[in-house]
Amino acid sequence: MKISLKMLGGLRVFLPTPGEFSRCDLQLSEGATINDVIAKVGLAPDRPFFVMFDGKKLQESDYATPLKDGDEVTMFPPIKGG
Amino acid sequence: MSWQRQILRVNLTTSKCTIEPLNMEWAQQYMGQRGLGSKYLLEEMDPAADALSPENKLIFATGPLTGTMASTGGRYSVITKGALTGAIACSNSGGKFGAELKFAGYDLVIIEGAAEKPVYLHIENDKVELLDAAHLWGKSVWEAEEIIHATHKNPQMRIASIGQAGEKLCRYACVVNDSHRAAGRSGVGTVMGSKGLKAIAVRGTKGVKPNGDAKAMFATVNRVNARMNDRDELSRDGTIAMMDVVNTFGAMPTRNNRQVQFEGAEKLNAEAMQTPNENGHTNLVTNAACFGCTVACGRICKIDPTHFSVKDKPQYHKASGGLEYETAYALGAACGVDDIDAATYAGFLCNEYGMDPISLGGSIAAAMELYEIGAITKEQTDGIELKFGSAEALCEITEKVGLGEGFGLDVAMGSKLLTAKYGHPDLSMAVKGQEFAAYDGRGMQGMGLAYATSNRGACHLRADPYSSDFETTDTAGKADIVRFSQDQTASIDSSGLCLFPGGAGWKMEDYCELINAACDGEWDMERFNQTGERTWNLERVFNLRAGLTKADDTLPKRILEEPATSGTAEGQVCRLDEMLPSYYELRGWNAEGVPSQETLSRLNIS
Repeated sequence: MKISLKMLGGLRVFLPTPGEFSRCDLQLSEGATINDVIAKVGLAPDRPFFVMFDGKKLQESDYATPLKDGDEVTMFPPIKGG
Repeated sequence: MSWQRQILRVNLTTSKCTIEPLNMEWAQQYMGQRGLGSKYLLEEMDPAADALSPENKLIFATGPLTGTMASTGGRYSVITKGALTGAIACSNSGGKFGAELKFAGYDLVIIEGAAEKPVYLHIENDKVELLDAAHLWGKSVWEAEEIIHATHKNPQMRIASIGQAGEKLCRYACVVNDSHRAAGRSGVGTVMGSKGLKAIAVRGTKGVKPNGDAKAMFATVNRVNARMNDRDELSRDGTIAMMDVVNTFGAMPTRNNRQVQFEGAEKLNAEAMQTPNENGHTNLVTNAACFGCTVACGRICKIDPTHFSVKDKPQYHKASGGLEYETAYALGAACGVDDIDAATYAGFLCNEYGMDPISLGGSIAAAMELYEIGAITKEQTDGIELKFGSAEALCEITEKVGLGEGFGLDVAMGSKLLTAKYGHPDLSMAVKGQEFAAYDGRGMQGMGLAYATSNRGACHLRADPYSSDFETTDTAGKADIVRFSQDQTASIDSSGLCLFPGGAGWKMEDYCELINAACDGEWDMERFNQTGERTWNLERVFNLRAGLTKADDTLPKRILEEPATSGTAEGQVCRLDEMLPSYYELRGWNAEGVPSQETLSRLNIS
């Protein structure tokens, strides 16, 4: 299946496959979860992040959520100021 | 030394300028800049005095690290009683003016009284003079800078000035230096205008020396700079990178906080700024750094010359200070406008006329809502269709506010007085009269508390609840996070350094190490935190003496009673009542928000 991955703010340079400015498509096997997306991105341990899915920010306990074709997952870093 | 150990006092009523020794006992207690300037302000004026009276003072304050080799060490603050808020105001700016003031030999410049006729202050090291500014009055910031440079023929001179907005007492006028850096919030430029002071032009050649061991200072600077080496997101995308994050999360104040997500955010974000439009025009030209900064988050931008706002105005076709996240929110989402060129144009006007874009955008958004509910009509707005989403209306009303014309004078009062005048005070999205920054207190509960308790009115730079707020909307623990980070940001604001390296790899210990390397005395984290706590409480004392009370530590009814319509916090209001009592308790204040004698004694505040 194919999902859309958005990586916002400073994470956008870590898109796991070539894509647009801050978005790429990701091919995943059936039954893949958000944990699989996180593993595929492979951020270094010193790069904290949050995950948005279906319009809400997830808790880590939600990362086992199974995905389906066409889903959109968004990752963003702790960011502040402005 | 880092401190120059002297202040310049300028009495505009008597035209007398004197150089005095810095009170080093206070410097050791309050460090510099925000803390030290606030200490002088409280000691020297009656907080109950009218902000626009000669009794108010206007203090330009550098920090001990301003002008040093420390990265981002170019900051200065303007401290006064705020014209917008009636509370203590401290507005922080970068650029190169602050370092130049320090090089001239001054930690602080205290402006007092009021001039009979417009003047500007010329400083060249020990040579200080007040000069006639009749030919500058009525000129914009950009024009005034050009004329002053032509007069003194010194390209190294740095200038901080007000534009027409400050002269005409727009309540949120700012002080602009180096063309597009500004001490923006709370109406510090309005106070400068009320004193008849057009500008401060400074050239200094004395340099700044660290405390004793310069090699140790070098080593510390190199060590902490290395932490930023792999964190270049702020230089790459600027603060506007926040746009996608906050909007996706659901804390983007949209159309005067009617919504918390803006469908037009993708037309105002970092990608929009960096991508050619249908005419092949790209908004972003380059990034820019303030004095000594290795982050360089500033955006230098150009408006599409074919855009309606500037197609007949070639003077705006040049590159200048572009949209930061706050500007893009206030002149974009807050007004429902998704036109990046219109927002950039309105931002240029803020720099040119000397206005705070956050309060301007918040005030225009309030005016747009008044218009949409029929509380004001087209006849009252000088014929402007002041509807949410209208880029044309945004540009037109911004011009009128800046020049103090027609309905622009109403919007120049700020949203609090504007909405009260037209019978809908609940539509002012402000705290203590100061408009919200780019975060909604329903999606970000800690930010709601930070807004409500900020001593200068709603502000996103007075606390650091961001990570906690993105983590959870549960209010447990928020009071302590807000309290603790308020103290730490107060210390950073007192140092001469910028808050933003905190988002680019620096930890609080890095700031503290730099302060310790540069300043006399031992500065550890305990002292760093307590210095900020002392400043926070001193500011609170100023506000209480100015007549503010617990009733001013609140949020607009919309944030407290109308649930967010989408996003992470859909269905939630800001639960300030769950956080404020524990905040007071953690601060050592009573239930009315008054610091206890024990707290004041512990912090050595009399």
